[in-house]
Amino acid sequence: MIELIVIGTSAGGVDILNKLATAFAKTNHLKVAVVIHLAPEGPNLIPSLMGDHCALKVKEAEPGEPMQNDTIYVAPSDYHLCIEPNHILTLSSEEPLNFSRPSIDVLFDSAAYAYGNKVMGILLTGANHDGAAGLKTIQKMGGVTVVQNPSDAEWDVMPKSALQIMTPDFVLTTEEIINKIKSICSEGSIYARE
Amino acid sequence: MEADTVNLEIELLIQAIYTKFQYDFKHYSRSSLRRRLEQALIKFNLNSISEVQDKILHERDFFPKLIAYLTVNTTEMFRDPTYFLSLKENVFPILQTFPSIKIWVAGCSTGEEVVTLSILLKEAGIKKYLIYATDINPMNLETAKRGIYPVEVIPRASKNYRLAGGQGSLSDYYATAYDSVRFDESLYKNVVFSDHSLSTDSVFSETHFISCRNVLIYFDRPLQERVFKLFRESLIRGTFLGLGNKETLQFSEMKHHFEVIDQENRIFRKKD
Repeated sequence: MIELIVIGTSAGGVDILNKLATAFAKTNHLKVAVVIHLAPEGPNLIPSLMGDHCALKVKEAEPGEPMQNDTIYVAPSDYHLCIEPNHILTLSSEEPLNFSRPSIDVLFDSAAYAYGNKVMGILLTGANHDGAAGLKTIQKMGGVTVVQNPSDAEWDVMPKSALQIMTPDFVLTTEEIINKIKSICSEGSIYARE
Repeated sequence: MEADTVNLEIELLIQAIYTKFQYDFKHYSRSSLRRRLEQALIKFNLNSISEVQDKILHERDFFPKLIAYLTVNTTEMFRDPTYFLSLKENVFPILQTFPSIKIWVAGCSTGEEVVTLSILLKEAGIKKYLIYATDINPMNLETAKRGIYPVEVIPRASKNYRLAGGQGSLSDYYATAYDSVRFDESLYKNVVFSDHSLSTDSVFSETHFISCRNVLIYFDRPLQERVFKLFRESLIRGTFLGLGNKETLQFSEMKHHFEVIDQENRIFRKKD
């Protein structure tokens, strides 16, 4: 059963994150972490944007914070977001990866080692190749991988980069990703009732 | 390759390093350590973290080379300019009331913040001060002492110097040679660099201002607590602590001993 969904996106990401936010329902076992590339200066407005139409709590990740169920954690500007093997969130000011901090690869890679086959990685629209290697690591560690269909993506460089180096479990349109998230959440709610 | 196996190899390596060399990484971010170990595997042409362990146990000169990879060394001059603006406004005026000032840059890495503070103290007309710059990584300290940095860091540093309220031009403080810059020796005459571990060492001096930024984000909460206790012990009453802009005292017992001076820039003042 999926316990963690990690989502990475860059150019065009605000729009689709707002759409995906509506898909989540409370499950009592699912956690979500998001990296979106933003300018390093200034506050990160994504938590309040997504939070406006999301059933889960959406917040900026704080260092040393244990991950809670039914919560979406968004990486702050200018720090990498990592998930530790003991499921605590940490931030890092290590050098940018793929010219990006936060880097999707750093989040995906740490999620793969922390959650193994209980993680789903979703890579969305974007204009650079960050996230592809991390998604591959998620697959290697037994997790489920989803890439946005490049023809559906506002910027197709990021999904295409992943498809060049791996074969994900699913290549989906925005609508299909929303349905995928909904089915994971409902699967979880059935499980939670048992 | 199983995630659990790699995580186990890391735990075993941490134990081996602690037992053999007394460097304590038990409370460090595992994901950060793993990324750094992966870089070390490439650099030393090894296949697994267990092979790293084999080398540190059996090859005397390997560990000093490895340690350079294990700590996070990323830092930059005038990072977060508003922090330094706030120091000038809220901290320096009070520091100047002391006959001489002791500053501790804890986890100074390769010294960029030391240069930054030296420049700002000079521009504030503060002369009687001593900076203790400490780090766990001896190679970082060597880099910090040399004061030589790649010329590529300058455009961003110059921009942030101006944003931090710098009064002249950053180029007043360095000389360029080929693709490097060397900062003026005068910036280092009141600086003492030394090897110090926040995990295992104790307080070495009374201080008036401690700047420790983007160090605690790699530590778990028990180690953060240890460090805050050290800082409380070192700071004299009414003096200051500056943290990185995602770091906080709010989860620490020590929060009761500090008041918030500037929440956004993470500057605190010891009350008692």
